[in-house]
Amino acid sequence: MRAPILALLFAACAFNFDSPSQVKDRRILGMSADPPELAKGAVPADVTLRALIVDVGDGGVVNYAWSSCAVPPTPNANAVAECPDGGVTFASGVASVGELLETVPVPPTVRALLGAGGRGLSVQWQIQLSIDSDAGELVGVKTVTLTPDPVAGQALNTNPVMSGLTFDGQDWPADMPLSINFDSCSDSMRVTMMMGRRKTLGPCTHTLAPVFDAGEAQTYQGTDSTGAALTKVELLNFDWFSDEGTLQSATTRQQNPMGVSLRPTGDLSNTWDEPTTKTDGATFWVVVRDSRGGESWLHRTLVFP
Amino acid sequence: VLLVALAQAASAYEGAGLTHEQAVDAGAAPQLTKAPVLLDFVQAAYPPEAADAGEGADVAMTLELDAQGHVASVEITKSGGAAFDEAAKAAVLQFRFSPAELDGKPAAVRIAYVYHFKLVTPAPPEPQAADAPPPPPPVNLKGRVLERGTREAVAGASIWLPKSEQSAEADADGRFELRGVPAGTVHIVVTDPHHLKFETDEEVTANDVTDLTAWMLRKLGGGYETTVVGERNEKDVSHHVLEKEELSTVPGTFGDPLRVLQSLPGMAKPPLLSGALLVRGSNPQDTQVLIDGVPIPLLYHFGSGPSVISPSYIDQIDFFPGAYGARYGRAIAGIVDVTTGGPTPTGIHGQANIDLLNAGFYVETPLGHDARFGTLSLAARHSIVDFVLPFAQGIIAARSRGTSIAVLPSYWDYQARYTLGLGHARLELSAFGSNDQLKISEAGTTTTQPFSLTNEQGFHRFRLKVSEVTDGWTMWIAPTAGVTLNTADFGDNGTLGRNSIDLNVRSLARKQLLPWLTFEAGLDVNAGWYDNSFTTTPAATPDDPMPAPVSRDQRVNLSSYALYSEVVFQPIERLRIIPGLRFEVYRLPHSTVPSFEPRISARFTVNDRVTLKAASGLYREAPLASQLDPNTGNPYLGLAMSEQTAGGVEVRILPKLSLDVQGYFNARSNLVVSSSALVERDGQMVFERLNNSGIGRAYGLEVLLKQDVTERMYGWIAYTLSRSEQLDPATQTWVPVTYDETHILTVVASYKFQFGIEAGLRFQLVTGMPQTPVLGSTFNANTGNYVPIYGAPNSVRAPTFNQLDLRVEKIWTFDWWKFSLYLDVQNVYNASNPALTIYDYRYRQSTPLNGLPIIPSLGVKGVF
Repeated sequence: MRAPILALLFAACAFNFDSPSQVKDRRILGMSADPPELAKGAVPADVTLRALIVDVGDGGVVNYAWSSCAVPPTPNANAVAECPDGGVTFASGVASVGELLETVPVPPTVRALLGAGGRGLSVQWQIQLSIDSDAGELVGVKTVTLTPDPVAGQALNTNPVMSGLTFDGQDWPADMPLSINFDSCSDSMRVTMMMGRRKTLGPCTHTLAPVFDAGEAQTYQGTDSTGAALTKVELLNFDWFSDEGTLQSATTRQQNPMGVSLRPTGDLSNTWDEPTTKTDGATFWVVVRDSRGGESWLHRTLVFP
Repeated sequence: VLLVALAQAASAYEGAGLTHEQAVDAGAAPQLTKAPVLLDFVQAAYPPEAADAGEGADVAMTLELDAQGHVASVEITKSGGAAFDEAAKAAVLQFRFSPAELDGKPAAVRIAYVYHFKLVTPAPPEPQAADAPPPPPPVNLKGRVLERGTREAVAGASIWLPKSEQSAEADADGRFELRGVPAGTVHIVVTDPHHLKFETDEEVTANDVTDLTAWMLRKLGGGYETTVVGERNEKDVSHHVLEKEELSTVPGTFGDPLRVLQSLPGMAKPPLLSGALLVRGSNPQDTQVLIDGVPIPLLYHFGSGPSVISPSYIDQIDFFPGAYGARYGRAIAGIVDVTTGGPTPTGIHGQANIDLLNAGFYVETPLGHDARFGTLSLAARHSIVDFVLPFAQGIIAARSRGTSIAVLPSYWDYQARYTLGLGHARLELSAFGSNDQLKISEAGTTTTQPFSLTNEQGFHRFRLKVSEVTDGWTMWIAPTAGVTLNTADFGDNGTLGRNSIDLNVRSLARKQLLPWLTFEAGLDVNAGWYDNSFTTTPAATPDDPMPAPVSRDQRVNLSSYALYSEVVFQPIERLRIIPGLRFEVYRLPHSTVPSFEPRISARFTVNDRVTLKAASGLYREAPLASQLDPNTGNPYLGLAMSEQTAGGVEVRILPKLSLDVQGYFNARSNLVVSSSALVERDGQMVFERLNNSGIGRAYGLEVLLKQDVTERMYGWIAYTLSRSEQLDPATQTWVPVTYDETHILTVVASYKFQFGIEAGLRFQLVTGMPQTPVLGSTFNANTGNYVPIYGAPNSVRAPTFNQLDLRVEKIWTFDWWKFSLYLDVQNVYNASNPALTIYDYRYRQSTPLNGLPIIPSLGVKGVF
C-alpha cells in the first residue's frame, strides 16, 4: 500500500516534550560509586556513593533513602532490575538539594561472588536512591561493576574526571559565578530563526566545552563484535543540563567508529542560547560517563547583572 | 411458420466464471478438464400467440447438469415471458450434454444457457429443379463480431438484415457470412443477450465482398458463467476465496488484491505502518504466505507497501484462517495461498497502469495458432516515487535549517510464466521476484558525522511444474529454487546480511478410487540455507590504530520434509469426512524432530441451503532462522505447536447471498518467547534470550455475510469476535496478546452504475490493540537514561479504530482497449485513530501517535 510509504516520506512528527537538558523540577542527574568497579582480589570494605540532586530556584531540602540489593543481571544494558522488597535500606535522612554523599559496606553476597572468581556473571550489585519531589518519589539506580575474573595487569576502572569548563573559549572557574550582559552580542553570535520565509535574529548563543585530560583515558580488555578479545579505550559521554536558556545538544560524545547509528564527530562542545527574556542567570551541570560504570560531574553558575 | 435460433452451447462456457476455476493450482482443487458439449438439441415449441403477434424473446437459464450430462434442473434467470419460459424449459430439460469432467472424471456442473426465440420468414419453396441445382449466390457480406475493449469473439451472436430478412450466426471465432445480399445500403442488426445491440448501415454490392467488424459493448457484468457445483475446496472448514472482481476494486486497497485480505473475518487489523498478517490474534510469522504453493519471505514491499506481485498477475487468493487440511503445514495460525495466472489466453491481452508511486504492465499471449507453442505471460512493476521524491526532498532541504535527511525508497517486482500443453501433460515454467531498496543519507551536523544506510531486500524464485491428468489420476510435481536477500550497508561503518538459498519441492497425486472415496497424497519439502553475516570497522585501539574490518558469518540450516495424505470419504451423499495425516521431519540446528500432525474435517449438507461443518487438527512450525542464530537467538529452540478446532454453518440465504458463521478454539504451546535467564552453554554462562515456554490460546466467532459478484454489485459484512491470550508466567494469568482485537467489523460494498462508473466503500470498526501502561520511570545512573516502570501487561487498549474508504472508477471502453481512471480515498473523514503512545525522556509526558490521515490516490489503467 502506498500510504505507509507516503507517511514515511512526508510525515513529520513533532512532539512538544521537554528536552532532557532542561532542568524544570527536581531530578537526579547522576550517581557515582567510588570505586566504580570491584574485582576479585580488590574488594574494599566500603564503597563511597555520591548523587547529584538538582532543582529549580533555591531547591530546598530533600528526603532521601539509600538501599541496595544483589540481583541477577539483565541482558539489556539500559534495563534495571527491581530490588526484591525494595532492597535493604542502609541510610536515609534529610539533606539540602545538591550533592549527597554516603558510604555502604560491600554485601556478603558480592564478596562471595568476587571471592569465588570464575567466568560469567550471576549477580549484579544495585544501589538505589529514593528522594521525594512534587511529582512523587524519584528513584535512581546505580549498578556497581563486578569483575570476578579480572584481566591480569589491567587497572580497575576509575571515575572519569573533568577539570573544568570553558565559556566562549574562556576558562570558567568553579569558585565564582560568571557574569555576562544579557542579550549583548554581535549579530554573528545570535541564533538565526525563520519566520516563514523571513529570517530573524534570536537570542545570543554561547559555546561551552568540557576540559579534561584525554591522556588519562583508561584502556581495558573487551571484545569486538565477533566476540574476539580486544583492547579498548574508554569513550566519554557528556550530558548537559541547565535551568535557563536552551542547550543545543543534550549529550556530546567522543568519537566511536564502531557505532552503526549516527556517529559523533568527537566535537564535545555544546552551544547554549540565552533565554528569550532576562533572568537572574543560569546554572549548568555536566555529567561525564565512561560507559563502564564510571561517572562524575561539575556545575557552574552564570549571572546576568 | 417459425424457426428457433439456438445460442451455441459452446459459447455458454466462456467468460469470467471459468477464470478462477481453471486457475486453481492442481494441488488445491479440482480442475475443469473437459467442458460439456451439447449432444442432443431439442427444438422448443414456439408459443402460437407470440408467433401470430410476431414477437420474439430470449430466455436466460441456469442448467444444472448431472455427471452423465443430463439436465437435472432448470432455473430461469431472465424471463422472456411466461409462454416463452415454459417452452424453453420444456425443451431444455430434454437436452443431453457430454459429461463435464473435473480432474479427468465426470462431474456435475452448472452452466448458463440462453434460448433465443426469433421469428424468421420461411424460405421460399424450392424451385423445381431442372437438370441441376443453380449455384448458390456468392458471399457478398461477411464479418466478425467482437467485444469492445477485449476483442473477444462474440460467438453465437445473431446477425439480422431486416430488409432482406436474412440472418446468420457468428461462429466460435465470431465470424459470419451471408450470400446474395441485395446490393445497396443494407441495415444490419447484431444482437446477443449479453451485449448491447449493434446496428449499422453498410453499402453492399452484388459482386464485391463487404467486410464488417461489429464491435459489441458488453452489458453490465454478467456473462456466461460455469460454476462448479459444490465447494471448490470442500475439504476445508475455514476458507475464503475471492474472485478477481472482488480483488481489484475494494476501496482502501488502492487496487491491490492482497490488501483485501485485511477485510476478511479472522484477520486482525495490523499496527500502524505495518502490513503484517495477523490471523486470529497470532504473530505474523505464524501464518504462511505462498505464491502458487511456494513460500515467500515478504508479501508487501517495505513490509507494508504494495504487494510484491503485480495485481493483474493474481488470479485468486485462498485464505485459510485455521484448521486447514494436511496439504499445508509449517504454520500454527493460517495460510494465504496466492494463485497466479488464469485461463489460456485466446489473443494478446494486457494492461498498463500508472499512479503516483509506481507503474507497471501485464501482457499475455498464445504462441502460435491455438497456443500450439504454448502461452507466455509477463508482468513487471517499478516504483516511480524514487524519481519524484528527490525533487520534493530537495525543496524541503533547501527550506530547512541544520541537518537534512534524505530518504529514497525504490522497488520493483516481476513475474513470468510459460506454459505448454503436451497431450495429457502440461509444462509450466515460472519466475517471480521482488526487490526493495531504501537509501537514507544524512548530511551530518557539528556533533554527528554524515551517515548513510542502504537496505536492500528481495527474493527470486524459479519454478518448474509438470502436471498430468491420466487414467483418473491428477498428478504434478513442482520443484522451486531461489534466493532471499536482505542486506544493509552502513557506509564505512559496516554491513549486515541475512541471505538464504531456498529450495522447495511439492508434488501431488489424486484419484477418485471409488464413487465414495477420493485419495490424495503429496510431498512437501522446504529447505533454507541461511547466512547471517556482518562486517564492521572496529575502533582504533592503543595496539592497533588502523584496525582491519572484522566480519562474521553464521550459517543456520533449516529444512523440513513432509509427506501427507488425506481421503475424501463420502458414505452418504450429504456427508463428507476428510481425515488426513501430515508427517513432517524438521531438521533444526541441534536436533531432528519428527512431527505427526493428524487432521480431520467434515461437512454435512442438511439441505440445499444449509451446510454444517467442523474440523480439528494439530499444527507445528519451526522457529525463524534469526531466532536460531546462536549470536542473536537460541539455537536449541524447538517447534511451536497449536491444536485447532473449528465448527460452523453455511447458509445460502439467496442464490447470491450467503452467510457463514463459525467458531474456533486454538490452543498454542511451545511458543517462542523472550527470556532473560542465564544458562550454561559450552561452559559459559550466557543469556538464554529465547525459549519455548510460551503458552497461548485463541477463541472466537467469525461471521461473513457475503453478496457474491452480480451484474451490478458485490460486497460483504465481516465480523469477528475474538480473544487471543498468552499465559503470563509471573502471575499465571491469561493476558491478551499484542494483536488481540475483540471486535473487528468490516463492511465492503461496490456498485456499478451506468456509463462505466463503479463506486464502492469500505468501513472498518476495530477494537484498539492492547497496550501496557507506563506508570513511571527509574533513572539508570549508569547510562543516564530513564527506564519505564510498566503496569500490568496489555491491560489497557488504544482507542477504537474507525475508518471509511471510498473508491470511484470510470471506465471508457474503446474498440480495442479500455481505459480507466480511478480515485481511491483512504480515511475519508480523516479519523485520528490514535495507535501508539509516545513518551518523553522520563515517561512523564505523553502524546498519542495517530494513524494515517486522509490519503487520496489517483491512477489510470489501460487494458487491451
